[in-house]
Amino acid sequence: VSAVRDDVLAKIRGDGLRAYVVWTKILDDDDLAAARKAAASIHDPRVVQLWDGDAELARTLGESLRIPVREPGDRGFGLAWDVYLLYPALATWREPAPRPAFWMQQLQQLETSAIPLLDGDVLRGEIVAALPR
Amino acid sequence: VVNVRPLALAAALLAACASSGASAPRVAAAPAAAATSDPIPLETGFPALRARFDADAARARLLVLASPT
Repeated sequence: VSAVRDDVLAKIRGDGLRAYVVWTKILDDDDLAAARKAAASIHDPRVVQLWDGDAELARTLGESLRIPVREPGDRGFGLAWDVYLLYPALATWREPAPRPAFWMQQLQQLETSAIPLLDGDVLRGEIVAALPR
Repeated sequence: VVNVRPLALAAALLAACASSGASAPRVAAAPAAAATSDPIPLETGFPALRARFDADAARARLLVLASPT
């Protein structure tokens, strides 16, 4: 998330971008207090921050993005976290969750040849190209 | 009409929720935290994100999911 703050938000001016940062319960120590603490590190009026306390959004997006499970033998799809999803202007929500036009990730179980590893500079370039004219 | 600050109202709602034992909102939205010690205000429900997403359709949007720890 620091890459988004430092490489994207700090370097893209204007109101053509909105960001939603969803703090989701993935690890044992993830709770609302931890989410509040993490949220306090981002100060940008274009950012809306959320707490996904039962990982509902992470689960829904995991299915939508077809994220592989972490453990061999597990069924279904993995949770979407450490993912950075870009939607262009005019895209609307599609149930159960919209697929992004471009995305990056930092998940062990995803091949970087399929979905690129997060790179703040690359992400910023994609966002700039998607900004409304 | 009582003029209640949104941050204070949200904090009061959270406190009431916690003291009553009610379950926490599944997905709660908050504007970017101001540089104050106020707790982050919360809105209830996954639908809030969907509504924000569509309301912001004139803009490019970046959705990030992360562990807070």
